[in-house]
Amino acid sequence: MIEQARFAMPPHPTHHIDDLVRQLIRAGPNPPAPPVDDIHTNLHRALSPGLTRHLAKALKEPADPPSDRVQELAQRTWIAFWQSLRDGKYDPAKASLSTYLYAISHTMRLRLAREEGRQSRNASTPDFDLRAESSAEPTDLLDLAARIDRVRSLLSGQHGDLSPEERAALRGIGEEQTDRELARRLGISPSTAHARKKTALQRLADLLSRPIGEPRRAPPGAETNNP
Amino acid sequence: MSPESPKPQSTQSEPHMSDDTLANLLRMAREAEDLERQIAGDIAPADRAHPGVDRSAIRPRAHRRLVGAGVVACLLGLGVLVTIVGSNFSGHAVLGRKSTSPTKSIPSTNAEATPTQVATHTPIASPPASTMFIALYRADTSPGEEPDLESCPKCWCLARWTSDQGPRLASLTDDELISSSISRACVPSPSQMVVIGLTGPAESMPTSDDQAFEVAMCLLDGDRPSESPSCLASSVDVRLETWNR
Repeated sequence: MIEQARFAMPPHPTHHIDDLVRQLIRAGPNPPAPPVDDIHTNLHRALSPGLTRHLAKALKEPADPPSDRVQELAQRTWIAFWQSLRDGKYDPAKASLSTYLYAISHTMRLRLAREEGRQSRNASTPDFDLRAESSAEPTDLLDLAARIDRVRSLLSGQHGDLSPEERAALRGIGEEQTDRELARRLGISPSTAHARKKTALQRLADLLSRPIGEPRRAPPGAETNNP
Repeated sequence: MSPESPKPQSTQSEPHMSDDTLANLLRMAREAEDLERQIAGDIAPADRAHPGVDRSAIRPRAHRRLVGAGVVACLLGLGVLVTIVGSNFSGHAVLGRKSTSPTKSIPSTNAEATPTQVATHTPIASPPASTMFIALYRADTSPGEEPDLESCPKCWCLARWTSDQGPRLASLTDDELISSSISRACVPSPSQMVVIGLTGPAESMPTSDDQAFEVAMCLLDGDRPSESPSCLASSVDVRLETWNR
């Protein structure tokens, strides 16, 4: 009845950002200056305000005007972003641009926290659990971005790999909700919420451990609205 | 790659991960979504400055207003229905029961305004647990032809997404709502768009595109205003925005 309602990821109407990145990648390490400057300017204009707000939120600091820490982190992120584009380290086929930018900013946050931790013993990883975060930090940013995108794709439910209950539980974990908070949100008991979390994590691990093209069994209650 | 589209193309399998690693990945996925939302909020207005982007498709134009006026009038009527629907939800799960939530209708009196706000069903007292958006896009409009959802469902493309961590539905401005919806358009240059925001218990939300489409049809069904609608659970708050170029 509604074939057009069946789609994987809708195309983004703001193709210019993709185009800008492609142009930048095509330009390589020694591009003619003026066009690339334009590309940089346009990309920065499109991405910078959102990145600043995101970093401010992550650091729990003001975004308008941004604090020194937010500005420092944004600057480091931009430098790493430009360098990775220039060096051809970003591949649009492997990860979305925004996730790649996130992966860079995340890594920069870790470095900043480490530096601050070294500078002040009292400031023990101010905003997040550095040790836990580090355990999930691959050395390659594109790998990290691709991994995050894969998790996001699974959480979107478009492929029916995870049931709505599993996705809700996993989103709860991502939001660092306690069993009690998740239970309240879903209208279930805390013990059921705990069990759902465990099951959902197991299921996620299972899905991530196999290649995407591999045939999969549909979980009970999974969506079947895929083409 | 668009900032709205996570890429699932990796064909390499991941080694088995610990719960901590998975939890960190989930947290990073949430944060990446947040960054994407922040960027998406900027892109739409920023595009106006870039002639390469077809923002004309989403801006009201005086010479197109006559064409859109019929749609607006039609949707205004639907907005009234949404008000009626909002106060008469019945049933359970996706099919809800009668609601006592107050409703109000905000008429679209400003022809210059984009988007055209059709109706707002005021929020319920309890805090929402989940927010889902259903957006319907129509790519092109033949002269003299304004197929509605019921007569031509294939004319419309549907996208739906949840925003559990995002701002509450009621706190979203029209521009934010429309911008975020446009950024998810499943047609390159939508000529019309209907955005339905739902806030309520996660388990009451549509779980598939088909269900979402049915909910949209139910909420927008202007032909049967006297029938008791059974679109959504009573605890679901509805906000509906329309927009056309």
